[in-house]
Amino acid sequence: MGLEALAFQILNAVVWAWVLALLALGLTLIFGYLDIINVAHGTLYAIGAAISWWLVQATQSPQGGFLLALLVAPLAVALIGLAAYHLTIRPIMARPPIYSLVTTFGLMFILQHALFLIIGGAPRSAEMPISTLIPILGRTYPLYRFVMAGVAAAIILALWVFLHRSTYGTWIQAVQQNRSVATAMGIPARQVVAVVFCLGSALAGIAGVLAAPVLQVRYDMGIDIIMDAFIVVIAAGFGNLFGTVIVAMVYQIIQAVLAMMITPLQAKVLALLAVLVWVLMRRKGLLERERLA
Amino acid sequence: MTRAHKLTLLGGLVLVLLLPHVAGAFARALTVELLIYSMFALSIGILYGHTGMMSFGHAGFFGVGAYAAALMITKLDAGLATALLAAVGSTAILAILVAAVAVQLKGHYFALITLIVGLVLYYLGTGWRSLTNAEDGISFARPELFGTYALGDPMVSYYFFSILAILVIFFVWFLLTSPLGRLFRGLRENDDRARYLGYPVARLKMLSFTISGMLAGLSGGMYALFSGYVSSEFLSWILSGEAVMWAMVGGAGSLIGPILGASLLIWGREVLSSYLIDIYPILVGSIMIVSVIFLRGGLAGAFQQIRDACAARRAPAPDAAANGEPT
Amino acid sequence: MHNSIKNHSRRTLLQATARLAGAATLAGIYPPALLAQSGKPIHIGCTHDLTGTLSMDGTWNDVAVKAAVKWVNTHGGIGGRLIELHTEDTETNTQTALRKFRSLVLDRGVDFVVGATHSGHNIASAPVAKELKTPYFASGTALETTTDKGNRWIFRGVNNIRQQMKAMALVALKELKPRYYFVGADYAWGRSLVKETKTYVSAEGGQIIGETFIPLGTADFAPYLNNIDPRSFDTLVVGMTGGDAVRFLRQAYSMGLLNNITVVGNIAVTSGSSVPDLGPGAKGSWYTTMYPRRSADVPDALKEFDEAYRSAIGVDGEGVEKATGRVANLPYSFVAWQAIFQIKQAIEQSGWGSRADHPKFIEAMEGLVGKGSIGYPQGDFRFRPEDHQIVHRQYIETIRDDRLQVVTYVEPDQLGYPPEVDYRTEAL
Repeated sequence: MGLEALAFQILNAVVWAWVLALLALGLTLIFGYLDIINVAHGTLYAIGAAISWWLVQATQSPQGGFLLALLVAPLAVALIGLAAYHLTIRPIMARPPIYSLVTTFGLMFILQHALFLIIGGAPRSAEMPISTLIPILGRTYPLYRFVMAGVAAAIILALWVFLHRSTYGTWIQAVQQNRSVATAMGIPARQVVAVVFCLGSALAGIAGVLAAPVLQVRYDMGIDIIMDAFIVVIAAGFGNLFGTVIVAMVYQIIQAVLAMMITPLQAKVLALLAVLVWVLMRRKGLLERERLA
Repeated sequence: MTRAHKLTLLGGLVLVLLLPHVAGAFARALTVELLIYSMFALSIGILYGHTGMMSFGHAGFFGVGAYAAALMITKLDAGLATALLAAVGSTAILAILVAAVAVQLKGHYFALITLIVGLVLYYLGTGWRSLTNAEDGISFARPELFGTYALGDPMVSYYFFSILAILVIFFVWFLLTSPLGRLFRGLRENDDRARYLGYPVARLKMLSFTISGMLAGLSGGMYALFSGYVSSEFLSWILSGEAVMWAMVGGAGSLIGPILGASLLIWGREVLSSYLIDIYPILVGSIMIVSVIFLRGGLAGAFQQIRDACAARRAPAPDAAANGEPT
Repeated sequence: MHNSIKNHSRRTLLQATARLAGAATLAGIYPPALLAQSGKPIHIGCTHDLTGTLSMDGTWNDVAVKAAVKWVNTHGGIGGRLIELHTEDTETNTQTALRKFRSLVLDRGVDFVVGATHSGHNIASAPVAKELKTPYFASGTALETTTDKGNRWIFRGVNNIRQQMKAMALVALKELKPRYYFVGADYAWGRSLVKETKTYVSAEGGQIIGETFIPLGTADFAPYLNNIDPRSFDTLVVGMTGGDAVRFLRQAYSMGLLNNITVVGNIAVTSGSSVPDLGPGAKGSWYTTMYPRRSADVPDALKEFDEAYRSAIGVDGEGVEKATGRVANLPYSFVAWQAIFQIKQAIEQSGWGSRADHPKFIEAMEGLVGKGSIGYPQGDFRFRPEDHQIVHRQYIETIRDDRLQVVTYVEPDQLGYPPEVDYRTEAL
């Protein structure tokens, strides 16, 4: 039982790590590339989940609703992100990132309460599009969780390809590295910034759609996950796609393994301390990077 | 202590003494809360507004101070003074430990350390149920002031906490207007230059962080004593974020800024939640956004602008430094 | 409570405007016609979790209180005096709850406070109620509120968790298969439920296989479910509420944990959820509840009062809110409705005129007896003078044929236990 249980914990941790990575990547696009702290990122995730629930209700089909949501939610959330960007981020873009913390905190209050007014305080149940159970490691595990992780992984891969193999992706990297030079080269920096913000938001929305059938939909479901996303983003180093996925994996796995021996809260504390130690160990490299910037 | 200092201290104390005669019981209770939270906002002000270091986990200090005070009373039967000393002492130690590790890092990474420390403290608070009783919290009876006055008496509570808060705020002001305060602001401007000029930058940063942490801890301890209640919610990152909010909306770089920010946002939320109970979070969020976007230097900066505009001749441009930005 | 988006926004704006305008006409609650004739209004304050994790309870308590006040005010008020209601949102945050309590008493001058269904709020507010000398009607069910954490100013108008699980024990525990596993939310209420149930299980000769406590707000239960072996027990006692409970049930079912397992819990598991919402794992589950979801299950003697109550709060015979199609929170909201009538009765019985008469009010509440009526649709009850704990009928419901239906009920006289405190020793 012991080894199987451990393997199961790790498996489950890896499954969730993909979703966390997807959410964190949305954040890293915004934070790492644009130096904007978006505290409302978790609420965009909740909105994505709510859209998914609503579509399932509307179509009366868990499969249809889910597939539709994968298309509709990122678009809708990207639009909300665009509006939020123009109203709360652009006006303070020139100021230090702390200002974005303040405005997006206010944004979080607004979006979250708006969602509350729409879907109410009770949890909304979202059916899994696939209800098959697979026997694995002596337990039964929902196939959907694998699908969830798989879709997240596919999207992350697509994101990588977009960023590193497409022209627009190169523009995004150019703007991140040096905005004035990029503009001088003819890249529409302002537009790129807006697009990146929308893209990051869309990723949060998709993460919400994926998580909804397992975690159920609550208007405040973003609050718990946003901190984990921030930790992953900052620990991985800004704008580091691959690193974000790895850190998400390691973070989840450490917690899962430790939770076998101690309580989950204690495991969380130790995992956080592990991140702390790791960041400190890298600090020499960080200092240099800061100086160059 | 200059004459300006003395007058302000006197002024603050006079206001405190007068308030009960013009305001009702709830206004008094709210004033105490505003003053205590102002102290917390000031701790962010000292750290960011004056020294340029941002902490995202400061509720960790607030909560630790609160628990130190509460546990002193519930476990060790301590008196008020001991409880408050415990609040300040425990957070001093915590701040020194964190600072020792973190001050070498810059910008985002310093903030990350503070974020993690805050989260670790929160999860410890939620997980260590036998000590903290997690979110259910600990309700406790407060010891008597000087052995005779019961803090349950609203007037006693009001005078004790508000006078103490005024004294502390005054002390902070004294500090910020002292040469040490100037040193801090020098670090905010450009700590490399300060280092080249021979100032012990790391030690100064540690000092600033420690003072800030102790102030947050004291405010936490006072809050616990004021409400007779403490819970792991006192350690939450949302409270950390709110403290930053209060400081930034008010203007982190001045003394009055964090006080104004905390007062406006908390009082505003109280009023709005009573009268516009269905939608008040939307309004509170909007106020935060609008005030930060349109008021450079926060509320304090806005007042400064008005004052300057009123001052006969030239009206200087809004002071970016008023909000702790590097110029 | 929550209409379609458009209707709700409009209603919200209208309500907000009405309040802003300072009009004393909280439409219908304070009928202008009686205004001229009545004496000074009686100010009652409410602290509800209108937002946050327990908003399900808060919003329904709000609906119930407002409907009760409206009914009382349109039927002669309290001895001719109208009730003026003051409502505050406690945001499922105990610090806020304390501040709002003080605000209601010190700022708005309320004389009575009807509190939240949140036991944390209740327990933290108890000393404040005493300090501010204001009777506080708690709706939460953790035991401590009427044992070591309460005081003479607190009244709890709902069966506490011990009484509720006792009812479950009397009806179901002997029917259910003997091996029990306990899963509880890791806070006062969850731990209380598990502790009380374990006592009864042992008394009935059941076997306690194990227990797991899960932090509130846990998103993924798989790590916990991993350690629970469904082959080792037959009955699962779930001590969770609302969001966590539903998520737990669905995830547990999705991992095959609930095959051949019977779930037992308090009705809070199902709050706000329709039977399909709970998922297939809830089939055959048992709940101890304070109010039947379906009108058909209400005892004949109470049917007319139940109908009037549902009509007043906009709920149909299936327990669903007519305007939105959402499941109402009947098992808890009746407490808030009844509290208004209990206050009325105690005031009339004691001749209470103002705050100075609170001692008389409290003495009238101690031992207050009520009979099934429009004010008390839940049925007969009495308040125990020693610990201010109500005793009323408790129902046992199960999910059968895709419906949540009553199996039987347990009379109040079977739900007593020796009081652990006697608040009457406190001077007022």
